This record gives sequence, structure tokens and C-alpha cells, in this order.
Amino acid sequence: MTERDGAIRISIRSNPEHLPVVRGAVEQLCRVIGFGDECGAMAVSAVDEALANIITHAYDGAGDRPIEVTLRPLGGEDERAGLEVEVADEGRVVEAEAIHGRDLNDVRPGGLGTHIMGCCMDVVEYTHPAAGGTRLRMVKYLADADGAPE
Amino acid sequence: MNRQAADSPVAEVVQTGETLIARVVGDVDMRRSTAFQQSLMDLFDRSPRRIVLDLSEAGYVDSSGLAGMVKLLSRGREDDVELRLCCPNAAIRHMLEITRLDGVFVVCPTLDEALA
Repeated sequence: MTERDGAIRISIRSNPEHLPVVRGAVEQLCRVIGFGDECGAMAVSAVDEALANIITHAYDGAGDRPIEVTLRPLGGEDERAGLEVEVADEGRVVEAEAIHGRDLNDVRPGGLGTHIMGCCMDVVEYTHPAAGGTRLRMVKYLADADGAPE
Repeated sequence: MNRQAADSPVAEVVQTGETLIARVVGDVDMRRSTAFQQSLMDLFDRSPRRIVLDLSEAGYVDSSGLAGMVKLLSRGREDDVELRLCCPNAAIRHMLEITRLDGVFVVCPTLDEALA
């Protein structure tokens, strides 16, 4: 569904089968915004890892809980162009420190999702609404006007 | 040649000498990572000396897919089995880079180089 401010809201359940649908939407919107393939892939990875974290940690693997994904192109007046993503869940609050990425020199399975999100996006912010759950806001900006990398 | 379970991203395993070539097809995300890991661990039942993961037909790989590869690497080190990745797309290469796994795995641009 497209909102008045150009945002696209996607409501899914915490079912891993829905992940490719969201990945596809993010990928296509990144193309519309003007991201190159590599930067678009980074945004796709960040959103996918965020959803996987929610399913695994906030909902403990339950496949029927709500997740709201809002994709908002940025670039209005006095606004730097890019993509803002909000992911909201109603699950157990997991403090960011509890799911922080592992030391990359410690080569072992797991612990990479949060690190990938941080590497792929310019802004990663968690808030916990009074009503419960977690709201994750991530932003990826387009290249600077002087041509700096996206 | 051996075809794998339908839900596993490891679509096919080809044996050439003491090397197993596991062809990874499609996305490796949390939907398929358990089957992926199982398929990779099953490779050791054939007692290979080298395993090549052919990623030329792999699409998206998430952190759970990378975890499966790290488990394969760890088991390979225990069993003295060499592991090589080949033909990853740009997105997979980038995932390996930002997780610094590009310095842990042997990554070859072509299958021929992986088999050399």
C-alpha cells in the first residue's frame, strides 16, 4: 500500500516464507530511487537481516506474529535523498546489546546479522514504544553531491 | 552425480576424483539454511579431500547461509578437507567482504581455478 508521503507499507506475518517478498520490494524500490545494484543489495540485506532477527529473537520463531515494514523514499526539500526503512514488531524486547555482532576475528557460525545491518546502512536506530515491541529505523543515503560513495 | 532434497539450495553434487563439487542454486536464507547446512554436512559422508561450493547459480545469501559455510569450513579443518568457494556474485562477494570471511575462505573466480 502506498501512503500519501510516497511510503510503501507492507504488513507480513513472522513467516520466513514472506522474506523474499519483502526483499523483492526493497530491491525494486531501490532501483526507482536510483541506487546502484551494490547499494540496493546492501539495503536488501539489511532489511532481510532485521526481519530474520525479529522472527528469531523477538518472536522466538513463531510464524504468525505481525511485522510492519515501511519503506519511504527520501529526497524532499532540505532532505538528503535515500531510503528510510522502519520495521516494527510486537514481540519480546531484545536489547541491542544482547544481539550485538560478534568479533569478526572470532570465526564461528552466527552473530553476523546485526553487523551486516550496521555495515549496509548509514543509520540504524532502535526504539521501544510504550505499547510494547520494537521499532527499528534504518536509513541508506544516495551518493553525496560531490560523488562520494553511496 | 547426486541430486539433493528439493528444499536444499545444494541442488547437485558432482564427484571428480577426491573432490566434491556442490552446486548451490537460488537463495540461501533462513527458510533454507537448515537444509543447506544438512546438505553440506552430508558431504563428509563421502570422505572427500576437497569440497568446492559452486555459487555461480546462487542468488541471495544471508547471515544464516554464511553460518552454514563457516560450519562447513570448521568441519573441514577438523577432517583435513580443503574448502573452496567459486563464482560468487557481487552481492555474495560483498557479504563475504563486510563480514571479513573473504580472508577466511579461499574464493576463486571460476570453477576451473577452484579445481586447479
